[in-house]
Amino acid sequence: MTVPLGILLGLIAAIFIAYPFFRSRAKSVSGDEALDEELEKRIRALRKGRSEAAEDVVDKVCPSCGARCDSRDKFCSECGASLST
Amino acid sequence: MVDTGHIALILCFIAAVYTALASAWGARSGSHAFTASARNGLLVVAVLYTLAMAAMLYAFMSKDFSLRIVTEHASRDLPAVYAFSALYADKAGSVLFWGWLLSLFAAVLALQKYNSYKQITPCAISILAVILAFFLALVTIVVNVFEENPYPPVDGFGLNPLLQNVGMLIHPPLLYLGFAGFTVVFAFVMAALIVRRPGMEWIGGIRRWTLFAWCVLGIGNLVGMWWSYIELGWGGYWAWDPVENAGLMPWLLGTAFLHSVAMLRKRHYLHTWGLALIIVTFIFVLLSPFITHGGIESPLHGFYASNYPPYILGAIVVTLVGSVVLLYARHRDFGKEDKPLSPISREGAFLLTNVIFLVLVFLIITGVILPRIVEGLGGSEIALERDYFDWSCGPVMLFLVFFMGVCSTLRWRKASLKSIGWNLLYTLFPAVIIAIAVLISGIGNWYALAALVCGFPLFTIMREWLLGTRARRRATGGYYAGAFLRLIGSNRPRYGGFIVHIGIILITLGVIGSSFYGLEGMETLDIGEEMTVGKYELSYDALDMREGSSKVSAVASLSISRDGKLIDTVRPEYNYWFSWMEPFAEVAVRTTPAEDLFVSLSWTSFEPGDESATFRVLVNPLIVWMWVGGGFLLLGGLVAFWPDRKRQSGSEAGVT
Repeated sequence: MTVPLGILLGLIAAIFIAYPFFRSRAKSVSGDEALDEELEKRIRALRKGRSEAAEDVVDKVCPSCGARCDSRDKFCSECGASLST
Repeated sequence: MVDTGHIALILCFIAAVYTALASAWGARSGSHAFTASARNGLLVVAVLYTLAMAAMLYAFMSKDFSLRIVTEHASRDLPAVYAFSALYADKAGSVLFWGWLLSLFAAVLALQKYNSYKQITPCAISILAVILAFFLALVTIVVNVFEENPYPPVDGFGLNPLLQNVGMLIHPPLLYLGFAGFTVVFAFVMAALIVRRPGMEWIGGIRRWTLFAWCVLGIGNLVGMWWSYIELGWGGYWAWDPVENAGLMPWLLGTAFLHSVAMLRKRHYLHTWGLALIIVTFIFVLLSPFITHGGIESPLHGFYASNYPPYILGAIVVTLVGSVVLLYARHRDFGKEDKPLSPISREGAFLLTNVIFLVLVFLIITGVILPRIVEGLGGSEIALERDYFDWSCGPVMLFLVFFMGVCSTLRWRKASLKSIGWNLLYTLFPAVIIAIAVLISGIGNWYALAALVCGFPLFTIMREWLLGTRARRRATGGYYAGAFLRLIGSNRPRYGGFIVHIGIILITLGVIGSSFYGLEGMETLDIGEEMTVGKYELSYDALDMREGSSKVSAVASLSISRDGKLIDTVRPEYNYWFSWMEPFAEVAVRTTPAEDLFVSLSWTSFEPGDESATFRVLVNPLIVWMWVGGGFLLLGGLVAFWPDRKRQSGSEAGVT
């Protein structure tokens, strides 16, 4: 009982773990994987550039207390000062 | 079922090793197939681990004495609800349980962050899989947790009666949840460093994980104190025992890290310092099982003759060297720091708070390891007594509580002296007035100090809430209550933190009251005799003997009077457990907001005709506020933890 059960459990786990390889092989036949890779590379490059500028783009700095606030905030979440200037 | 669990655990170990390798390769090569396969591998680890845990719990509930672990920690009369306690009462069982929680957390992280942090998550999965493989090796290779008895006995030794308490059902799991949470945070931070993620915006991705780990660890420590208070019979809740300290130190470091996360998110300041703190926190998380498993001897509790300490020490050394080298190699990548304009700013206050937390941990760890170093150098056997910890850590802790009042009011970048002056006038001044009034009224010098130390941060919080609520109501109208709730909702991390601070203030009050103004009496009485402790008169009315299948209980009845007026009756117990062949006290506690009356039946002969009994009675002022403070800790943690839809959609998802 023990050995067949172990084999069965191991088999199910192995199929689940290996599934992405079969899926990516099927995709690569249609050229999707290469396209995915290329898109990922571009996204990575864009993201890198964006995060360097993120401080200026995403955040506002409160003129009163200096806290970083969301760009869409109208008032500072720390001190309540207006951020609309 | 046992075989299934054992096989599942072995397969789990293999899957964890594969996941670590596949994920590392996937992160390095950028291969989708490998990272997706590794993610599936981690899910398989969680499922197989859960299967193994289910098999183990089934063995405990069905009292399967063919397993060594069940024989050593369970018996036929053990209630099923204590199957969990019995599991982590064992050396390997506790590691099994911790590893299981970690496997679940790792699976959650893999599912939660896989799409939002595509660079960091594969690497984090790899690190978590390595840690899981280490845990699994401890319970499969070093010690087989499913080890079978060649000759199964008819009954087991049973679970230590002290562990048969609801506190023990909650306390260790909460500690392990906290440890597992900090492990996830550590793995995520290390992964971000390895993949050289520029900037620090990813730190927002682990804020809630940090908060969760910190909150459950804090509550876990408090529940442990409560268990110690009501179960061990000595009337105290903290003995500065190495095992207790092992749970406290990661929490203190986690608190420092939590403040650093706020600084990193709000001000992009002190990157290296903040990340170094999570490394230290994780090292102390690993130090906890090292101490608990006898790496440093504990006079009160812990596991004995464990094989694990050398392996855990090895893991600590590898982690420390690896993470420090990594942090040093990457510390130039963090980019420009947004330095404050003045040290008198919230950044300055947070940094000082962090330093004080580190000093506190240094004092505690010195007290824990110094005796071992002295012994190792050939010196005589010493133990640093409670006085060392009380008089070195106590003042530092009091200063930390007082300083909470300063931190909350200072502005980022630079605080103006004018605003500080106004704040102090409305917060410190009334606290000083109350402290002087308490001093003059003769209530007690320590209570006067408590009024100052606790009053200042409490008034600061009240003022911040009052000003904020008033401003909100002016802007939006409506009721004050609605404006207050909207204020809390506008910045949950900040105002959740305030609620936590109130919890800490209440805990401080409880500690000061019970430490400096407790009363104690111990007397042997015959039926009809009385004893007096403080304002209470206790009259010993009766002693009942009750015999059960596992123990014989002596239950005493005592009438409590105050100023000649009967106010209550308490029934402490003294139980002789057959399997342990020794007695354990079951205390009776009468709780009021002002003080607890703690009654322990410390001795009776169990001889027919002899009803004399020894009672230990304590009056512990304000102690209930410690447990109420725990409630505030939990509430504040929940408020800060609650997801903020606007920020999640705008900031976290947008950046990643």
